[in-house]
Amino acid sequence: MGDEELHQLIRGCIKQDRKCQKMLYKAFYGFSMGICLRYANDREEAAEVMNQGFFKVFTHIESFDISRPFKAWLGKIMMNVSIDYYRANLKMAYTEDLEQAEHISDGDVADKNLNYADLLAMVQKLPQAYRTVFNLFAIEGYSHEEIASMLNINAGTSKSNLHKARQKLKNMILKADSSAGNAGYSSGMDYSTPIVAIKAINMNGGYLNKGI
Amino acid sequence: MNTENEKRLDDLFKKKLEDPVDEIRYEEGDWDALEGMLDKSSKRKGIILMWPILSGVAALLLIALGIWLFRPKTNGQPDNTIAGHSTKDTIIDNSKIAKTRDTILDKNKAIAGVKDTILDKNASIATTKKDTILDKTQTIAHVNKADTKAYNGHFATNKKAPAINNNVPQQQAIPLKKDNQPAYVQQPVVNKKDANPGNSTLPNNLSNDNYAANQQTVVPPVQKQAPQQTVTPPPAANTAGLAANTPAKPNKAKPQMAYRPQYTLSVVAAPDLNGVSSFAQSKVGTNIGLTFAMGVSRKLTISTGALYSVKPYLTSFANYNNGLGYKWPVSPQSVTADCRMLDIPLNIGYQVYHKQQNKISIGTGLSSYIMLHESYKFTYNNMYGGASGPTNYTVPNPGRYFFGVMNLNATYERQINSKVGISIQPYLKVPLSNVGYSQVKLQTTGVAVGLSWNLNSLKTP
Repeated sequence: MGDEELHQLIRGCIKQDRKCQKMLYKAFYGFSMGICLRYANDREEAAEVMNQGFFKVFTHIESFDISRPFKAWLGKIMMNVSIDYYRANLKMAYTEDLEQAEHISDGDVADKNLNYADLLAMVQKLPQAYRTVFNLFAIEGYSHEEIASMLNINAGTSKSNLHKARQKLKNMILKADSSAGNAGYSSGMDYSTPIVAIKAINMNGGYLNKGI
Repeated sequence: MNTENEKRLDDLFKKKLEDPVDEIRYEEGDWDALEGMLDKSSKRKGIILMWPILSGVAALLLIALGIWLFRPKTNGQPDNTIAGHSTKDTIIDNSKIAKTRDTILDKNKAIAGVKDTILDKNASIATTKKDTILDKTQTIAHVNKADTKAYNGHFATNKKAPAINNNVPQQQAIPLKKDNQPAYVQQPVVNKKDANPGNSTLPNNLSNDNYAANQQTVVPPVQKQAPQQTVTPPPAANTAGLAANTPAKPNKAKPQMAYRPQYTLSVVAAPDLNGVSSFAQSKVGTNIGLTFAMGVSRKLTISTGALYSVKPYLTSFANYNNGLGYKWPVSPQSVTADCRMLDIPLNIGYQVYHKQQNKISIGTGLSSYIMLHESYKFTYNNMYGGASGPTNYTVPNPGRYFFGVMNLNATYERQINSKVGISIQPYLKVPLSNVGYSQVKLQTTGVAVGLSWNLNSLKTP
């Protein structure tokens, strides 16, 4: 979508034009859902959170400065809505220990041939507090200090949660790798968490959000 | 896990999860859910937009109710009297009186040819044959035989009255019994306005004054006296002049104790200081507007109004919250805001001191801010020639913030005369919630100077 087309859509949204709202929604559905899925427990929750985000977008669209990048603005809203949605859970204490992960030797996790659905399922399996910190640190690129202030926790908790999140993820990757070893890789994950995203390329009639 | 492996793990997830656009399929059901939310919100927004209108209507209703509840109680009774009188007129009209007889009148003395004087604890009624009661306003009353007939007819209908013969110069005293009282009370009370043009000589020019005065005068029953013998001079009070709307039953009227509400309209101007969280970096703003106050009791006053308010303020960027997630390339050092708004207060005041023309009261209440213009200027710390970001931002659609600010004030008021007063009011506005696009806790302190008009007189009715 070109800038001019996007600005036209935004102007339509300012006028509360429902068609423009739907077009904007469709155009940024994939991008927004991609963010919300990472913070959510499952697809259903992610869709709910994403809609809350879009609701904020449409009701505050007039405050968007058109000279700024829309995608960044939208992404920040989706992230904030996701954090708010689970805020109550962020301070929960997890007593489980990570000893299981401690004795697993460091393998080269990056070499594993894991697809989007596999990795997303792993992240979604993390406890909420770990998942949020991992998302903010590893994917969004915030520092522990920033995360601490965003989540209203202290930086030490943020570091600790990140460490635990990594341990758990690594554990999952190694498990997935070993179980996929015999069958060759296709979908090595056998987590009970439902697969929340399906490759659009395999779908007929699905809306493709390309190039945004 | 060593640092390198941690980074690899992070990168693996970042690469695959950061922007997985092609991995996600659009679901129409999700849009339907959002559309439902938007529809619901637009209905609610409609109600919110109606809010100022609804509140205006509610305020008007409240004022109307106040006027109705606290109106002077005397208003009702003259109406009744007039209503009663019109009945009498009708009776006279029906009797088709054609002739009149001249009546001797005196401006200063009322010579009443009283045939019978009927006394009641509250009212006395003189039925006259040839003469009638005169009032100070030189009312000329003409009574003739036909009139008497009319009265006779009327009395007859009241059953308790003996028939009065026109040809008999003397009449019996008519004892007024309670059940007749209303009819008699109404008879002599005649208002000029009710004079029937066709019956201009009818004795319908007795004023309320005279009637009221007679009520106050205890006249013993006089029986079988010649008309000339009975002179009932108007009491001194009559010439002194009673108010036109003197209560019909002054004997029963109690001193007015009920509070009469005062309505005051004021023009107010106020310089004030505005700051976020503290007044350390405060800037001077101005306010001008109109306020309307209604005294609901001797001590309590409810006031509202509308003030156009210019509130500039300076705050550090830390206090600035642009809410919806604009990522600043460089954080500005400070923000200068220029906010213009309508301040709609709803306050209640309690009078703590009142001596002569001086009044002191304290008050509290809530203010709603309706933003009219909102713009921000960002200042960067460019000491090292560093980069800077956006320098200013004007909010395209400033919001409304209902009851987000608490007002605390003290008012000194001096009444110059019964209509005009001046007031000085130091005040403090404490934020209860964040206001403006920047979502700041904006606090204000200042002194309002006002010139006020009493919409109703301070005199008691």
